[in-house]
Amino acid sequence: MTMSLTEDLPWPDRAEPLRIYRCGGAGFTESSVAELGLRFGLPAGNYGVMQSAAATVTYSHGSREVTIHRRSGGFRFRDLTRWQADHGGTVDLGDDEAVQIAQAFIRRHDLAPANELAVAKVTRLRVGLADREGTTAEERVIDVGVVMRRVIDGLPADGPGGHIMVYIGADGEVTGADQIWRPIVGVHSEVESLRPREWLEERISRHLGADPAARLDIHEIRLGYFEDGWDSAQEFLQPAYVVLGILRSPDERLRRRSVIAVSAATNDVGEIMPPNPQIRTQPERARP
Amino acid sequence: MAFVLRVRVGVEWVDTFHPDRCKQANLSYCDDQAEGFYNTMGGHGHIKVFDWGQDNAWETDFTAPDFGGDSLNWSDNVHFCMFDSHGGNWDDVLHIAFASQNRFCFSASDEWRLGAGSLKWIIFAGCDAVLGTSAGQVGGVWFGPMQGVHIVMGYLGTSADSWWTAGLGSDVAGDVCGGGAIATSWVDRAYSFWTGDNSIAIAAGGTQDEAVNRRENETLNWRDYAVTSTSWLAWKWRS
Repeated sequence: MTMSLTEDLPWPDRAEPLRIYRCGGAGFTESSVAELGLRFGLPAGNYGVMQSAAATVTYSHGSREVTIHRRSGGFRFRDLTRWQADHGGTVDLGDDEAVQIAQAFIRRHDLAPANELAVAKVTRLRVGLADREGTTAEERVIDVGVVMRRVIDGLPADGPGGHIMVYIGADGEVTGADQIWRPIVGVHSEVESLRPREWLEERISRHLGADPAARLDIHEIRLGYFEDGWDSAQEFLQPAYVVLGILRSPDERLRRRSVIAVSAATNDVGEIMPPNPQIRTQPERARP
Repeated sequence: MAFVLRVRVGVEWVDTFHPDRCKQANLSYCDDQAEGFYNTMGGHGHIKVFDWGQDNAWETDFTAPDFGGDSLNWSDNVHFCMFDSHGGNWDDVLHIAFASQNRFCFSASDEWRLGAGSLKWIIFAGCDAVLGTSAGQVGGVWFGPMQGVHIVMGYLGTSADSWWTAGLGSDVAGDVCGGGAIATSWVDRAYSFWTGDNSIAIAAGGTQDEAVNRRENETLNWRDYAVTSTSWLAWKWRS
């Protein structure tokens, strides 16, 4: 595979010191989800329902439910009658207004300190409708989702975790929230230095493997504290390079995006993502 | 636990392309997504009918018999199908890529009759189910192929082949088997602000209300509530 990485692509260097942090253990239980439910106003009464699965614990009461992912401690809160539901209205909120609602929600429920949050993205859930003749068409926004990134040492977290997403419905009320935010319990070590660009290029090539027909056009390289997703136990938060690119095929009309994350510190505490999986095979299918 | 109707499930996926005329860039996680979906559905008691990967995934399994295909014995012989490989959309036609030239390297959506048999729901987890979300862009691609299928799911533009989204199929299956609305489960799980995946679900109906109702509320228990005509499409997407 060839790799297109232009010299003028901004390199995410950093002068300020970084650290490798130890995360708190997971092991979230039924009592954890009940406590979380109380924070979101779900009473721990006789009408609540607790569901335990290998990866999650869910407590629901009426239309509202909270789910904790055992390995990460990440949680989802939903008001199921309103979350991502179309009741015919339109959410007419600008980005700034939506961010203010999200920040107020985070503050009210004590989800994260304000000085550890940065706005990452304001998303919108839209609905569309059309008839075959093309005589009727409509488009509305039914939900605004505000993504707030965790910030550590002035550096944003990166990865599928390390964020809070607040969902705002048609009445301007919060209808749900997601949070993946592992607690930091101490400093494992100071980062000695960050790996250079040449090292990263070599690592990307190794990760991509030998596919002479493919080409990866890299359009962004970021540096961030990498935090994993819902169902991963993570012992350390460490700086990582996150590489975003477009994977191009011989038929240029076919593209797919690619996201690669590798640990950035010379004294890292392990790989961020596993090597590419082995090529899978199946017994040959019988021809008709 | 709510009662859930059993549905028949099939998946096809391609990660590895050979150096021949079907050659495209190799992928890494299509098998994880598709088989995660298949096995999770099976784990909830649904019927696992076929899991064709790599060279065993064939263009004819999606192409309608009118065009020389065999869809009625495969993709349209299950209720819920997932396909994961490369996809590309040009001339208002979604093309899905195969590694094995059983007949052609692509199956094209203008040769599909989705729902002519048993099919109710189908996921195209590659790129470009639609290129835009206007009525013309969605309807231009999907009014033709949706001929009884209830909901088509995919992406607005490109999707990521990524370690971080390898669990998508399993997550979606877990949600819908738990009674979640199918379109909402897909849009929620397949959207990723981090990888840049913008998910979309498109529901059909004989009337405006039916299409909207399916988009908002349809679950696996709607298996036998047939779409009598695709006169309306209702879709939702996050971006």
